[in-house]
Amino acid sequence: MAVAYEVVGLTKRYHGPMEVLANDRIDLRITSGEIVGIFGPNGAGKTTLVRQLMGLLRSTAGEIRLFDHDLVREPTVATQYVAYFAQETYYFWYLKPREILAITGRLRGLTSREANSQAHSLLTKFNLGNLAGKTLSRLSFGQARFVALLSVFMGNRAILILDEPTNDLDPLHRRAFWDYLWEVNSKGGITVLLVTHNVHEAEQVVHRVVIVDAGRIVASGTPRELKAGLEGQVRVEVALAEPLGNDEPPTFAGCERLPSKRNTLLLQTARENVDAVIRAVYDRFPSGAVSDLRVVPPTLEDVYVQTVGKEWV
Amino acid sequence: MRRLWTAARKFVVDSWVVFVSQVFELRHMWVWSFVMASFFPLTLLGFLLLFGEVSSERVLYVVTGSITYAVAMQAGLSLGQRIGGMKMRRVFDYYASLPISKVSFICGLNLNAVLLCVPSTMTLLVIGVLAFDVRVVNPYLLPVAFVLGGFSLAGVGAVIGFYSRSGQIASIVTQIANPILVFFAPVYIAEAALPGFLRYTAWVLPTTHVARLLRSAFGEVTEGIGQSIAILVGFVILGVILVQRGLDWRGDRPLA
Repeated sequence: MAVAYEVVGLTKRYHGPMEVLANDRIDLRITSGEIVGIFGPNGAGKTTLVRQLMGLLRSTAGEIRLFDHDLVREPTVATQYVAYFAQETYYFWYLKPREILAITGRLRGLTSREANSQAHSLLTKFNLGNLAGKTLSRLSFGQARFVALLSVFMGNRAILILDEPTNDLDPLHRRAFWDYLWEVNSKGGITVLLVTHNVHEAEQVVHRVVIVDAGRIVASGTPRELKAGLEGQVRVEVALAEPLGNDEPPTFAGCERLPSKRNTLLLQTARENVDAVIRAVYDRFPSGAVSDLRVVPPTLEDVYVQTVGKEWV
Repeated sequence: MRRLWTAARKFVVDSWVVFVSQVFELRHMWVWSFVMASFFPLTLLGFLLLFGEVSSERVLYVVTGSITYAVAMQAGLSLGQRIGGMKMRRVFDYYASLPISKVSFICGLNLNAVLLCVPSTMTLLVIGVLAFDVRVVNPYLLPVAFVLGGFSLAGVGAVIGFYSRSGQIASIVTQIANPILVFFAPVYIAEAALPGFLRYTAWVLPTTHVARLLRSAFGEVTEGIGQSIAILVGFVILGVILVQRGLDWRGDRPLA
């Protein structure tokens, strides 16, 4: 398999009154046809990393090779191979869905006919024909963002860099997007770099994961490889009928408490300890307080939480 | 030769598509844009001609001055503010991630700004001809003044927009530039009526030369036209060069 990106010692330092080391000697190799998830907490340096990979930001040090090109020296080369979806995508409010797709296609080198045809296919595929006459300003945030997201598929680029693509999307559009991403990857061999906080959903599509924290890669591997570190562990999800109070949250022997949601207590424990934990939970809460209890294998999200060691944001 | 042709074709297509994208993006405010560009010059035209002495020379200066003002406001200053807004919305990230040159992008933006002044300048021209009896003597100078004036002033607006640190600063700077472009130059008044030092500084303001070309189109003395045309061409080129340097869309700054 050809190497799409080869990144060596990539460093990005923002100068100014508050100097920030956003990327610190990052080494990364991305093979053609891979879907690589880049996860990490807010401010970890993910967006800085992908902006450099798109040639939108100058690196302080290090090398980026995109296929056979030196991207540090020739940043515009990225536009020939890569389509980029930025976190902030509200560029055009008064364009209609077909217009934004066709204009993007034209600027990626398609003829007018090709651009219009591809735009029509995408809008039809996602049943967006009924929105054709409306400008983005008249759509919901999620709809507008979804249309902007579809523009990355215009012009058939070999690599897609997607920064938080599913933010603001409803579950149906999220699912449709992940399915389509999987389809273009498996059929067209498109390489995808995916920055997302939605680890749970991304786990279904990524081939490989890179976890970034404080500007450095702190873990990388396939989801299976990363979860191997939690082998023998399970997660106990306890849904409570009433939300937890402000008191100190309950602890259970032999368990690690994961960051919990309002009505749900998440506990991680060794597989052989599960029975004891379940008994302890039912002993701790009065009858009827536990509305649901599930034992699930560790997820990529658990790996993330363990690796980064911070509250999920 | 074939490569040159391909590059030229790509430049034209890209500029055109950028232009179209901006036309669509502004469709909700075409009317307001026309009102903004016409209202103040029209008010000033009415004020200056309805009150006080009205000579044919004064009429000529006020009508051509108002047209120059409309071009400066629409092609130049509103473009500066628009670019400031685009900067805030990170619109450059979109264009920078596409295989187009900065020059195509700038030309598309400037063309859009120039065409946006057509309705207001035409309105002022028609009012000048019908209501104040000015006559177009050298019609070929009108498109020359309009195109060169529009692109040179769009260059000024673009420089302000691209070099300002934020959209708010771009907006403030355009407010400051507005009276400088119009009242520090022989736009509404003759060059001789300007204070001494302004006669020299006015040469570096494109509005001086746009107004001179317009006055020549309406039959005033035509000497110095070639010089004004050359200076405006210089402004157009300088604007593109400065904007290309200032448009740091592969920048060094963090997102937030």
